[in-house]
Amino acid sequence: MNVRAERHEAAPTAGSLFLWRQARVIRVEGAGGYAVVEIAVASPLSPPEPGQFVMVRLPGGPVLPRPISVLSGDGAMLSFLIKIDGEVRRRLGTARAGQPLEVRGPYGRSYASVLAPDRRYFLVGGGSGIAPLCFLQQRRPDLVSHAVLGVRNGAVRALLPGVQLIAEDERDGTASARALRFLAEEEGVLACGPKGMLDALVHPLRGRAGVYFVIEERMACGIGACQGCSVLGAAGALCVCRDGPAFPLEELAWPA
Amino acid sequence: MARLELGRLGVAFAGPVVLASGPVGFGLELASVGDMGRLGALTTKTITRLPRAGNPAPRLADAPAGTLNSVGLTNPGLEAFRERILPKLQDLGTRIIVSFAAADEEEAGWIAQELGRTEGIDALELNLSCPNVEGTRPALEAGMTFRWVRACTDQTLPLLAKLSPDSQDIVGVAEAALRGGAAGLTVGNTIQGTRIDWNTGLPVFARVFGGLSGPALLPVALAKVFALRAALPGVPIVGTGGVTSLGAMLEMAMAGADLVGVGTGAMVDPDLPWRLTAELETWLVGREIARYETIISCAHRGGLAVVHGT
Repeated sequence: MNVRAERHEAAPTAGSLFLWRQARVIRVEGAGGYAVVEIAVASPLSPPEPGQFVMVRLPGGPVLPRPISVLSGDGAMLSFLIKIDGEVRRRLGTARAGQPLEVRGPYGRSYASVLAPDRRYFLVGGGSGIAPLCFLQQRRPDLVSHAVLGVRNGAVRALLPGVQLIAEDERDGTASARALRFLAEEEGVLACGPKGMLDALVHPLRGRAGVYFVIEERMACGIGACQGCSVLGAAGALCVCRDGPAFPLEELAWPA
Repeated sequence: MARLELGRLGVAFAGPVVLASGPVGFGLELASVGDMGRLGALTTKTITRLPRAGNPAPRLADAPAGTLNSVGLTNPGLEAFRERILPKLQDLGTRIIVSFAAADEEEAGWIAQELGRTEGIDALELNLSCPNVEGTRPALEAGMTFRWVRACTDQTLPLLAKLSPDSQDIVGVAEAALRGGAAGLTVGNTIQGTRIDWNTGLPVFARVFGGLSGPALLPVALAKVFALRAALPGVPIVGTGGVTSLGAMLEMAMAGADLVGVGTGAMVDPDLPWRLTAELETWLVGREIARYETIISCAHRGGLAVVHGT
């Protein structure tokens, strides 16, 4: 079928938060099964805040876009830390400069808007979950008391110069174990990482004030409409993209 | 926009693009993407009598050229819908079709009557075909469809019966819905599918089966719409399934859909409904077709050559 029509140009309004933007990969650096991917967005997004994510899709890729947390950036340039795993992340993490992609966002509540302001937070990160925590450390050091960011493979350090990482393959132990050892009474906790890491934290931290977990879930719309990312919380469904992705521990049902 | 306007079900629609039930929730997020008044209608997320949390995560999975979902009718329930959500929908400036589902025909009838005496609703859509909840899907069987629809037509709003492409005899089911008093048909829901996580050897979804949507569904939906239009001339049809481009929307209309539903397409690309509306108008202008309405079902009567001849 030969159908040609001019693309409707939407006015640059609040609605532009919902439009797909053309972007290109500028730089990819991989190590230890992870990659830092830097992209340039042709028509810049609103500047993302730490804790927010963007939806990403690749030409010829799956219908469902992928939510990816921002490691750093300002809306015109963004970088991500991704685990090279699954179709989209593998293609992105091994892309050459110039690879086209599309992004929309940023979405989700920033950590600063979710965390109770009366305390500073001990950050516990694992795997690609360390990305938004690094962004928070960089932008809002006033909210951070301490950080334990863990990876399996110490080679990942090469991707994040200036960031202190502990590595399981160097007998540093896990981020969760270390955090529980050093956590002080007055500190809050913001944890972002694989389910196993959160599982290890949930019992010791239950009942403690100021504990927040970042939940990762498959998403489709990213804007709170489709309920595809809903998880069953302590008091009904929680919409991860709109109400999260960081939630107070007491709102979560565990095992999630 | 007179070119796109059409009247069906006793309702005047600004255009053929209808937001399908489910993927865009109650449309409130999309309302900040574009002017809802340019769209034909918003079909709400399916309402049930009581609130439903829905199914456990994960609720989404990839499918080749599509998506699978196992959302399971997450909704705040009839009362919260009427008190908190419906008033906000009045400001959107588009037609409101309220989708609803029930555990049995008696409950369905009760919900229909409640909605029927609620202000601000243009039509109802009885969801007979959600693959993601416990219990049977009435739309798989003509006798059940007849009883459910008949239970819901003792009120004044026009009722669309939402059918399933999974049913063995969709024409027979549609005829039963019309005998029961349906004013039109929504064709249709997702079709049943599943995925297995081969890393664990287990189904991806807790309920095992989900619903397939997206471009993969398009040819299936087109076939069902075509068959129904051939059998049931004059019955209003909302054709829904895999429409993500102008070409697909035109095919759906030409196969027999009066209104064209957009669901998954709008979920992953929130601007799509407005783009389709604008592209359709441009296409009609380019083809010198004065009214969208004239292309509906043209695949059954000689194609565009006949449209131009009239």
